[in-house]
Amino acid sequence: MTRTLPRPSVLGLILLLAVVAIFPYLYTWPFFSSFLDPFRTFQVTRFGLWLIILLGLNLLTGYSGQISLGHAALVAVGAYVAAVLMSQGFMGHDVPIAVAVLAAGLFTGALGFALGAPALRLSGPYLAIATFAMIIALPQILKLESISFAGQEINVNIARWTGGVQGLLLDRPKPPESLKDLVTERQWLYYEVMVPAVIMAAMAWNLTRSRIGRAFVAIRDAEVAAEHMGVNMALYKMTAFALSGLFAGVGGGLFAYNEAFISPDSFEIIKSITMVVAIVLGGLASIMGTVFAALFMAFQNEIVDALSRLIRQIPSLSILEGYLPTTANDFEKLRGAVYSIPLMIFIIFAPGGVAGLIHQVGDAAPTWWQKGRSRVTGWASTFKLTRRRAEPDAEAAVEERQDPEDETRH
Amino acid sequence: MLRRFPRAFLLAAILIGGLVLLSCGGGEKTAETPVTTQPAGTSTPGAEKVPGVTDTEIVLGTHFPLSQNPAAAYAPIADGMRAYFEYVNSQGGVYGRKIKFIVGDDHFNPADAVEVVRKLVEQDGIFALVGGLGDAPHAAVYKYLEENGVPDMFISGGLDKWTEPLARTRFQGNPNYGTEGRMLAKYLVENYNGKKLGLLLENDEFGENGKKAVLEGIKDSDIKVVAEERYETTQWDVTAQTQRLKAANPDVILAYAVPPPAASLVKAARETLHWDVPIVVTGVVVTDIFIQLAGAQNAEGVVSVVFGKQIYQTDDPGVQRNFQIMKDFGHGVEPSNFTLYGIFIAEMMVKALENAGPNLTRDSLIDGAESIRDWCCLTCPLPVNMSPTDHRPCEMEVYNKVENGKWVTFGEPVIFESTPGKAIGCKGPDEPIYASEGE
Repeated sequence: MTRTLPRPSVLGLILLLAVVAIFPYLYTWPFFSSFLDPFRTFQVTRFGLWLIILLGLNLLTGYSGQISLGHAALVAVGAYVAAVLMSQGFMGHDVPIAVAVLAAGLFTGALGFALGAPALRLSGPYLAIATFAMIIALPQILKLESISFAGQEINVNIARWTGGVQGLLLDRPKPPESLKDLVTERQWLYYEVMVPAVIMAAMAWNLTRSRIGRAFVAIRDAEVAAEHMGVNMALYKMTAFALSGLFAGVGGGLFAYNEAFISPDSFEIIKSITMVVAIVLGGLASIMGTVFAALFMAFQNEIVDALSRLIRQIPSLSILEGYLPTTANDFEKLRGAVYSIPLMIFIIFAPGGVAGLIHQVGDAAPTWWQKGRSRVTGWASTFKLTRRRAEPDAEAAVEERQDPEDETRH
Repeated sequence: MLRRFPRAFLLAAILIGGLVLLSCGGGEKTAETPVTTQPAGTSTPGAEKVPGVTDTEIVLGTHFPLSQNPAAAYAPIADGMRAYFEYVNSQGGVYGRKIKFIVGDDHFNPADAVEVVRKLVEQDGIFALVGGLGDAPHAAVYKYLEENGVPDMFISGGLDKWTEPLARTRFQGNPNYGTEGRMLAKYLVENYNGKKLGLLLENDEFGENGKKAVLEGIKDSDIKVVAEERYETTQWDVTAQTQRLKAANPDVILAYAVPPPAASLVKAARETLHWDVPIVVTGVVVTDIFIQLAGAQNAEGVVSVVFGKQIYQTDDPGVQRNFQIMKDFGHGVEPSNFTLYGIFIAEMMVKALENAGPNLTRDSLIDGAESIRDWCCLTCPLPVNMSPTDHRPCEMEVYNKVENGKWVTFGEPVIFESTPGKAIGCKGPDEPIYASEGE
């Protein structure tokens, strides 16, 4: 094999990782200081948290096709497990953050596995409802002062651990003494979140290209066929739930650590549903799509802010002021509406999410760019989900032989 | 492994880079004050630059629910605050400095409040946070503000923990639920001793705190709690809870709820269940929206407590000024008890800024707030007093009830002022009555 320059995609990845590695220091450099500040570091830290959480959700919903509206409940469980361990220790011993987060991940993973069992009998909207029930029930349970069993005989004061309605306030995380001069609190947190996030992303990427990942996709695309091919349906469905629980638990644990505060209201129904919206916008069954989904979650508020500012600056609206039922000032209060319209337009024209759009652009790129890739029809073709399938090359070959009119998506 | 990496990742990298650049560059360029996130106490006054303060501007911020949650009904409070700050700006500002007021939307969610407040502090570089609303969201940020030395002025919430223990940088806006609960308990004991009590509580710290205070107040009486129902913060309709309350057959109901569910309670009891049980509610409910939602007829006779004048007292010069300010600077927002409360908070903030003097620092602001004495705001029935050990501006309450579709006060005000002032009352805005002339 002759040595050539690394391919552009590899270069891009290296560049991306390099930026991720030095990001919290960038704002101290002359050029970057004009648009970066410690708050951006916080936002990107949040991005890392969302990335972990959404990777789990995308494994479950995107890859194996199990819709979960209650994913935030799993995140909350992870957050509480880690928070309780960090604030109260375990059997009288202090628990280091890494152990607490890992324990949160494993506990939530186990919980996910258990939740997977009843989910075996449900699919589609029915599964959505069942998972939705989790996010309705959990905050109320977390708010309980105590739980009684056997007719008041046994009374467990759970608020002693969970803090009840008040939630748990943790000590603000500090960098270790030896590194105190090198990193600020914010930068330390960034690395504490970003290192696991990169590891988990690599894990997810590997996983989706393994036997397990292919089994997930097979289950999603054709359950019966998958079963006939020898995929153990029960095991893989429960594994999907367990894995997404693992990711949710680690993400939740890091969330509690990063915020130093967790309360039953932190993860509510709207957050849970927005998470599903985010992975669809980013791109289902795509690690890259999940990256965009996490960006969406981290910068969503800012995007809405910018949109409502933008709308106020449209001059024609101020001319219309007397005729509209609202004044331009009211657009502050119509933020939800302002942001739902682009959302709808986007999902109509880019059902594959951002990742789908990028593949589409990639497919239409000049041939030198296409070199080494599976051949797909050009610009005019709709996005064909090839990248989302178990064996993209084989499927592309099959699709090519078919009449283009038949190409329907699942 | 890397060999199989899709080229699309390069595109992705470029796109992400572009997005980051866009979102960073597209932001507001006005608040470019570099913020040093130094911990409290390490700042050396004098030569050091004060965050959010220039010779011409003071940047203030707050967090409010503006969307995604029923609590967005509170948004007019922020409108009232903005209107008053604009009014002050039109008068030349405070020592020549105009006030810039930034409202962040926290959706009444603690996690979002964290993001919004950090943005305000670290990116917008606010000088102080004013009137941040909501016990649940604020609980997620108050330690952060305290540790970073950001003044946390006049929180729109009443948890006891805002001022107990006392933090130098934190001030309360509402009377705390502890004192309010004692007052409501006093009313119950005087009128319903020996009877059965039913509770409707918001299922969070607000409801829990209120319940504790009321139970504390009635513990020596013969009042028996026969039912306790809760609702979630995302809920408006409490008909089911009301039905269960009725099944327990209490003689009186006490509700620690925000206006919409409280209105639902009243409406369900009167209209759906034809149940004329007396209802007592927390002072949080004393708003126009409660009466509108419940219907004036249903709300008739509901009892609560209040700590200031109200928007219906249209003969009052202070209330008239409120109307004028909202007309001139409200951008079309209707005056209500919410805007009135917002104006009260903003007014108190401006007073603290004035007391702080021309050399404004965070320290001098707190000194300025602590030195507010015998001060009558536009709608204060009694003067406001604060001190280094007293960070609660509102330490009086008076009973009120709904009469002919309006909240009307009754009985003598109950005062638990911990900072004795010289004035004994308020004649009007900035017109304290002193003992000698009052007699």
